[in-house]
Formats: sequence, C-alpha cells, structure tokens
Amino acid sequence: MQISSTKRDDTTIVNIDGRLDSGTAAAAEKQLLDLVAGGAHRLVLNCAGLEYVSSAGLRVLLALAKRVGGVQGRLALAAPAAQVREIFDIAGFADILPVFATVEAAL
Amino acid sequence: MPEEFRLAIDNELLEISRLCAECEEFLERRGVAPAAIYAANLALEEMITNIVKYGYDDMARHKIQTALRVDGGMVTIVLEDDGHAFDPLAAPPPDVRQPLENRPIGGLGIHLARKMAESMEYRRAQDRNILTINIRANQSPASAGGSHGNEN
Repeated sequence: MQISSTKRDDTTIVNIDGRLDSGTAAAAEKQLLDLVAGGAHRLVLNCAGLEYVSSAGLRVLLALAKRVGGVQGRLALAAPAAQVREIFDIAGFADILPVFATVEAAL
Repeated sequence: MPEEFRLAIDNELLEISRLCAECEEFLERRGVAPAAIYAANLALEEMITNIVKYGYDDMARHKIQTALRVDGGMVTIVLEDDGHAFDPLAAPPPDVRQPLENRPIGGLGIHLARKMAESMEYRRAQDRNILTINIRANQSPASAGGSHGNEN
C-alpha cells in the first residue's frame, strides 16, 4: 500500500495504490487523516491503483469521510477498478460518498 | 482428485496476509479469474479476522485450518477452527442504507464476503466450527455474488 498526493487548485488528489486491508489499514488511516489535519479539506481519492479493499479498508475510508465532514470539506472517490467498485456498491458507499469514473470527473 | 492447498495458521491477525498471499498464488496457478481470486481473498480475510478476534475465550494459541481447491468450476474454501460455536451466517446484515453519521464503524466484513461468494455453509462438528465457502472460478465483477438479494 502506498499513498501519494498532488494538489490541483484547492483540491488534493490522493493516489492510493496496492492493498487496503487489515494489514495496511492502520498505516493508511494515519496518513490520510494527517493530510486532513495538514489542511487538505477537499480530497479526491484516486483509486485507479487500488488493487484490493476489504472491510478494514472501508473503515479507513469511512473514518476519512467523517473527518472531512467534520471540517466541512469534500471527499470524492475516483476511478475504482470493477471489483473495488463492486465492494463500494455492496457496502452502500454510493449513497454516502460520490464515486466517479475518472479523477477529472471527480474534480 | 483435484489438487488441494492446505495451510494451518495460528490465531493471530498477522498470519492472515501470509495465508491470503499463498492462497492467491495457488488460485492464480490454476487459472482462476481475478474476480474470483478477489472474492476468495475477501472471504479468507474477513472470516478469519472474525475467528481470531471473537472466536476464543482464552489466551492460548489455536490453529485455524484452511483448505482450498478448484473443482468443477468452483473454488471451495473450508475453514476449521476450535473456537466457541459461532455461525457467521446467522449474523444479521448491517444496514448499509444508514447515513454516514449513524453508521457503526465495522460490521461489514461478513456481509461483503457473503455477497461476493456463491454460497456459504456452516456446521458445528466435534467442537469445531466448519465453514465451507463456494466461489465461481470464472466469476466476473458483474456476475459476482450469487447471493445478491438472498441472505439465506
């Protein structure tokens, strides 16, 4: 699991690559919440390189969404692969977070 | 006889990644579709995490057995543990329609794993929990989850 970010105007594009599972969730959560604490309140999470997400990974995204909501920010998910998208759908993420096919569309 | 992969791990969360990686390698070698490998990975992670966290009433070391085979277009995983009796299929599904603020953190794992699998069957025998998980070996994301809309 690797997290990197770039800034575009007032939006931070966060690339999350690899596996977001019970083994990597704690490190991912810390890095993502640190971004918000550091002032990134408008976030697009680029999931194009996200190979696998489990419930432990979804908990990280929910924790991030709650933190972003707490600062009146915005969180969008972008470009998930078909299997990851299916996990988002089963978990009902589409009802609580905007999910876009591409990063451009999510901006 | 179809080739079977068997591995016993200790009841520690750190063991799960290693087990998943070895299972994934076995399934890839047998030409199982990526969506089915994903579903298998998810079932292993979610169900074993659950056993490790909630299955035992003591601090002792226990073994959790995994057996994996591909036969007749179906990936079958059998998990066996000696924890206290627990039927994960009897757990109520979480309410995924709740607004974000009202959602409890957690409770999704079993639900996800069930939705991605074709079927699951639980039995208790000789003081052991035995969970059998079936996943279509050729499943694609669109067709995944034979149990969509069917909680039984």
